[in-house]
Amino acid sequence: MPKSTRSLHPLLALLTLCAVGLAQWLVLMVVPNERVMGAVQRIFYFHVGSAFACYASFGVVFFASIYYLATRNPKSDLLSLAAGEVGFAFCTIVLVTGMIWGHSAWNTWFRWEEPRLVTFLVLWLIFLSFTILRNFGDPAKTATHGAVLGILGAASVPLVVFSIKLLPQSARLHPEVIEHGGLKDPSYWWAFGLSSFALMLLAGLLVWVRYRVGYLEESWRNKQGEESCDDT
Amino acid sequence: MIRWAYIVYLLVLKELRLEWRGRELLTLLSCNAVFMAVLTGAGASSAMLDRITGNKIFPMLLWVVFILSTLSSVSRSYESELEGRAFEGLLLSGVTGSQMYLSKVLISTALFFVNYVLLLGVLSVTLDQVVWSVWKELVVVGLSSSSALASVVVILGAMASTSRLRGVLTPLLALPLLFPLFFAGLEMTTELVLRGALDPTSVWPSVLLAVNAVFLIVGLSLFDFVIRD
Repeated sequence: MPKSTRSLHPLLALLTLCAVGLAQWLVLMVVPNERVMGAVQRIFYFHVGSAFACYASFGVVFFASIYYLATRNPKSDLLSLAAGEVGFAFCTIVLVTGMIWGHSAWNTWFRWEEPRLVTFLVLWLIFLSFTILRNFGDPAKTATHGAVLGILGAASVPLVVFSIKLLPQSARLHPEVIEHGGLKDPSYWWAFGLSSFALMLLAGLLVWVRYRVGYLEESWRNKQGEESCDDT
Repeated sequence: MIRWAYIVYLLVLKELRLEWRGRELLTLLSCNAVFMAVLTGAGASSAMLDRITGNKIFPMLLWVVFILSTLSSVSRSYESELEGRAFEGLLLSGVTGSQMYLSKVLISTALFFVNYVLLLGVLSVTLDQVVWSVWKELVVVGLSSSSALASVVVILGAMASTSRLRGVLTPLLALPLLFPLFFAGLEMTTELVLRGALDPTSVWPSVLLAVNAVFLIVGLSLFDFVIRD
């Protein structure tokens, strides 16, 4: 790994730490309690930011998979693996925070009639199958198969989103805060913007760390292989 | 183009002969479907569902059993290729991955469709439902769903066939991708069974068409990568 990119790592970590700290301070100390929901509304700042990070990870998996199939560059496979695992973690956060919110606001953990909940559940399952393939697939072919599944999964996302929106909806519960002109207080906007930015940075940092771990594992494996060849 | 299609035709014949010789996939599919349909019927009977409730849940049971019975049977579909190293031989003789993929999709569509028709019959008997008035529409839905299912399962089956979890990996990989197909098929079958006709303004046929197109195009483009490695 080039030295110049290696030195970016602590810088990104420091920036993420500052952004996450500042976002926490804004969300927990500055933003006033929401009139109807009370303190529970603060989940919104983690929930939406995690959803952005999840979508971005999906995008990275998609483009890294295409790049891998086109060039067979092992680094793009490592990037796809890293983004897939981080995306899965953020998708889990979206689902869990969404369910906590749902239980407090609507007195239900999950509703099939709610398109966004179902969409994220299906996205979570796609990430899960990607992770299963990366762990239990044929080791010699995992990179290619992972890339193919990454593209298939990403290709199915618009279909999933569209078809779920078409399902009969007896009750649409998910709030559309931005669309309906919510977040009146400027501090809400600051907290929302900064927490989303901080979570995106955190996702980027985690992808970078996972990528580096994968790179080191790969280098170590290659070195072991070379040593065993020398021995024989 | 004609030569390309002729090779696909020959590959379909090869697949048919292989299936005819062993009758493995069809036997597995139909046995799985019948067992699951009978279990479902027994469950519905013990829950003492009346005919109207049975009518309401019939499409859902049909689709759940169809997808699960199909996915749990397809792990055998690549056994003969792997045992005989057929992919290597075909690639050496100049057959492309997309030709192999298309032939597999065509034969799988036919087998899955037989499974669907069988299930439709057995479930309508075990749940005491009369669906014959809309059989033509149900056949169209079944055929187009079978082709979409085959487009996904063929490529994922090839990926799972060399892994140590080959028996269970295909359903795990395929199920999350099949949600749009499941919703489209289920909604269309519900409309047909409950209302006797498809709503002319329904968007679900377009969704089913889009699912077919997307997965077929992606499969045709990527199958080569899966088998060449």
